Amino acid sequence: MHALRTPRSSPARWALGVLAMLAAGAASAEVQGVSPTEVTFGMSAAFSGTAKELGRQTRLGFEVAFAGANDAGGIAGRKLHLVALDDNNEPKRAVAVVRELVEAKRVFALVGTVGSAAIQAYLPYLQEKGILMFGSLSGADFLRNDPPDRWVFNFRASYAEETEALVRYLVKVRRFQPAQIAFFEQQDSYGAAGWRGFARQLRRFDADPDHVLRVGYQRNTVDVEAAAKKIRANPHLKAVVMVATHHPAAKLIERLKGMNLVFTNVSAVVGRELGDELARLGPKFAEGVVVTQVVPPPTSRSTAVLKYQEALKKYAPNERPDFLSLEGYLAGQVLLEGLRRAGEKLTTDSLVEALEGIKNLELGIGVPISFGPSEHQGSHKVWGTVLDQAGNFRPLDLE
Amino acid sequence: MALIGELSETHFSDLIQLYVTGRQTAAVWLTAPNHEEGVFYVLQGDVVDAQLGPLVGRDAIRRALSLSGGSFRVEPDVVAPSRTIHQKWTHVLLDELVKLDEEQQRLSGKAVPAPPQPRASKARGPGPTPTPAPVPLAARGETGALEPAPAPAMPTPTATPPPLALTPPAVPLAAAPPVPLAATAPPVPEPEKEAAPLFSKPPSRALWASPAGRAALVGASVAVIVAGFVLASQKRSGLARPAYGLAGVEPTPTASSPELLLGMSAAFSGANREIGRGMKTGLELAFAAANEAGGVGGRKLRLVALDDGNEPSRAAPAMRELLDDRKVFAVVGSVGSAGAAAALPLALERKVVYFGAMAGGDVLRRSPPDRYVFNFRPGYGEEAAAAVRYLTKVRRFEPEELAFFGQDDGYGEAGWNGLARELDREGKSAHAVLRTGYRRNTADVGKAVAKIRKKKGLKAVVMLATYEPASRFIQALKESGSHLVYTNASAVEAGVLAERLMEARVPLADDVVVTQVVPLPTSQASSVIEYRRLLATHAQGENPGPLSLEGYLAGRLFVEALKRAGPELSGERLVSILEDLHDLDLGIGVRLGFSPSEHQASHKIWGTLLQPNGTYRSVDLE
Repeated sequence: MHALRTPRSSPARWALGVLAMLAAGAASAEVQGVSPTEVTFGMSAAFSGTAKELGRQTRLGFEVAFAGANDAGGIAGRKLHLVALDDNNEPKRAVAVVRELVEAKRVFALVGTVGSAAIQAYLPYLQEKGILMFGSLSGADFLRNDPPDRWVFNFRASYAEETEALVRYLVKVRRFQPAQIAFFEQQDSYGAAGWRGFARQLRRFDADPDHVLRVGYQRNTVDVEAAAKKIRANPHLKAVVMVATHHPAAKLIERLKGMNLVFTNVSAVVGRELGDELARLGPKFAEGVVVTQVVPPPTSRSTAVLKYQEALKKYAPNERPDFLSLEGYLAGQVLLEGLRRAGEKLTTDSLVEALEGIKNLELGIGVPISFGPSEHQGSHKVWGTVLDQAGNFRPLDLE
Repeated sequence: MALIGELSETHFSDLIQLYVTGRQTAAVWLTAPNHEEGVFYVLQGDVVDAQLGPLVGRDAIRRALSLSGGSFRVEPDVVAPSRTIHQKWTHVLLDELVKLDEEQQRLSGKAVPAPPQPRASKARGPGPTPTPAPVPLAARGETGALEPAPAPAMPTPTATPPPLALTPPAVPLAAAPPVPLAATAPPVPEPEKEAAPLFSKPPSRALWASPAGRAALVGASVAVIVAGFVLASQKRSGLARPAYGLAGVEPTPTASSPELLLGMSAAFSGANREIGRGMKTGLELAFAAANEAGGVGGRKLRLVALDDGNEPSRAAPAMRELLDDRKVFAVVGSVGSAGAAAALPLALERKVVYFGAMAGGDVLRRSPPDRYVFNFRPGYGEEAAAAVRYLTKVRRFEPEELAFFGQDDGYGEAGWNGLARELDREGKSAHAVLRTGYRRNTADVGKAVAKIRKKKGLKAVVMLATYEPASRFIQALKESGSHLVYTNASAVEAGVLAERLMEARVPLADDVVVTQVVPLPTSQASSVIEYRRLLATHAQGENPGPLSLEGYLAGRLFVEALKRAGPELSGERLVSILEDLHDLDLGIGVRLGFSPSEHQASHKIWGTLLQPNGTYRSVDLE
């Protein structure tokens, strides 16, 4: 149409347009990170420091899924390869790491990224470059826009869905009044996402979220004293919904000993770490602490989990099954399905289209996985677990 | 799509010549260096109506020819509301160039170094005045308009009001009769009687006698050549616009590929012109994408837009022209509920599909739905209901803490009905809600503001208004110290509302909410990315906004239906195809579809909150 500004400049513009089209055509012949024999994926996460277990386990899950596919000949003749770099869970460093992955390592897409604050820092860069990010270990809201971002695909349920499930459990199963539930959060986008689901669910029970005791702590600290004091000042409380990491969570539980509260956590607390830490404090701390999960228990006997256990034994015999590596493994399986559907002509666009075509994919975890142009989150299911005295989990019915 | 540029680079005569050569139809908007605005309509290669600041007709043309600065914007296929110039453009051009030349010679002959320029010298802001062009004082003298001009919002002389006999609604649907024009519109100037004889003295000599005239003639001939090149390149890229031979589904005899002609009627002048422009831009993006892919069912889509000035009295004649003269296949993306009420009976009588109007009024949402009416967007009632839900559930206000502020027509009425329905659903009553309003096309908010200030304990106002009254209303209440939450419907034009409130330095504190029927135009969703890409290619200089996004999405939906219909196309077939369109996922977070009982594709409403920096962020409405 009128793609020109003034008649005078049209020939030059036309020539530029032709050049641009030629350049685009040349570039499209070669897709970054994709060769006839290999696809390279990137991953940025903490592999050192306190959060290193999250990165390590998630990577393990994806690696095991990729190894299985590679042993079966790869996808459309291509072996899958994962380059993981340590971002220390620091947003600034993560931006540099992701730039390196994209520009130096020339990865095709990012998978299994960890750390909401870090992802938030480099997401605009990925969007600008049109790089796909699949299966982050994050339930944050900004990865779940409505409508969904073209290049962001999630496997797992959101933090908001986890806190919703917890409120439902406390009100419906434990029969507490909404006013008897306090909210404890990390004061950032992680906590805010949890609060969103918490408040939404309270409103569904016709309760006013503004009447709920809302306390918190600063990220990367364990300063929970103020929060503990406020909760102690409210003896009518029966439960706390916690959106925290395991150190401050354990500290709060320790400080509130004797109040007879039900402590509930979302998956990002990392149940095993919380269990270990509470068990170290003494026999009574861990017992009864609830943790929601976005994958079934890794000890389950369901088809998908059995396959996972087998693969883990084969490719990483020294590792024990874990929620985190199971999440990476299952997300990896969904990605493999997308790659299979995209086939030989693998581009970011063809993968987006292939993933959006996945409907009711049965992995065997009790919930079918579906994507679509308006739906970029595969699963909405939340599982419940409860810790015993030793800090080990067992399944808990949330409904 | 809009062509925009600077008059310093492309002279007015060159610009017009571009459309004259191709015998095209377009509207050209000018902003002169002294901020005067004007519009020139080209109809099949002739300028038929003109207005610039206080000047109309050929005086406006002469003034435009004198400009060597200022900016322009051209919308193709906008048809003039009326015809005030009846000569061929070539005659008009030569005639006016000569007159201009004479005026300038007279001025320089008098050797007045700097003649007083009452308008140009009116300081509009700091900095040097960018008007090197001589201001045609004589032109003003002729119309005697040296004093400040009347507001340029009204277009030039409107056509004679349609005779009543022209609107015989066969279906008794016209519950809302056209609002009498005289009630609200400013006095319309008399149509210029253009009876000047065609020029007695030889034009060329007079022209060549002055450097300016010579330059103009050379410029005009250069323009013809350039225009030829441009047209040729447009043809090559498959985007040619044959200017006539428009005939609905029928292949046009002159065009190389058959066309499907679609029509819209909206305001392209006056206070609401941005809405019409936005919708048209968006629809054309969708059509351009379809045409680039080879058209639909072997046909290229073309949109013809008529200016109805957002007046119901003009919407009916516009519809008549679209159907009878232009013979459009369907009406797509028209703007305004009141206009729809006036124009719809004709479309229904002729069994012409009325698709995707930018109107949320109840008149387009009857139960059961009118066979030929299909909507993309939720109704204003649904928007108001979502706002009420937000206020009662999220903000936890009671009905007696709510007030209503609505336009006194179908727009406000639909909103009030939605509010009452929602409160009823929640087991509450709308009786407790204080109802206020204002007259359409006015910004008289004083009474409503006074009523609201008088009532104690109010916490929020559900507003169904346009940006002008809405911004004044919010400003007045905030200045009086009221602390309220203000919710607005999508038709308020969020961007302009934000602009007005920012200009007035109204402090914002998470208290201005706008409901939207499309995602944020900044979204990274696939279809919104594609929309922005098309916007950047086809409508340079246009910023992404909810209006053109709505036009684009409605256009995509329409194109999808046409695709399914294939080459065998009729209105009846299109209706069956549309009613059979289910679960279409364009990636906007909601699946679109119709059925025989459901003629509205989307019921989804997004919440946005105006932030202190003047931008919107999304907010949960539930």
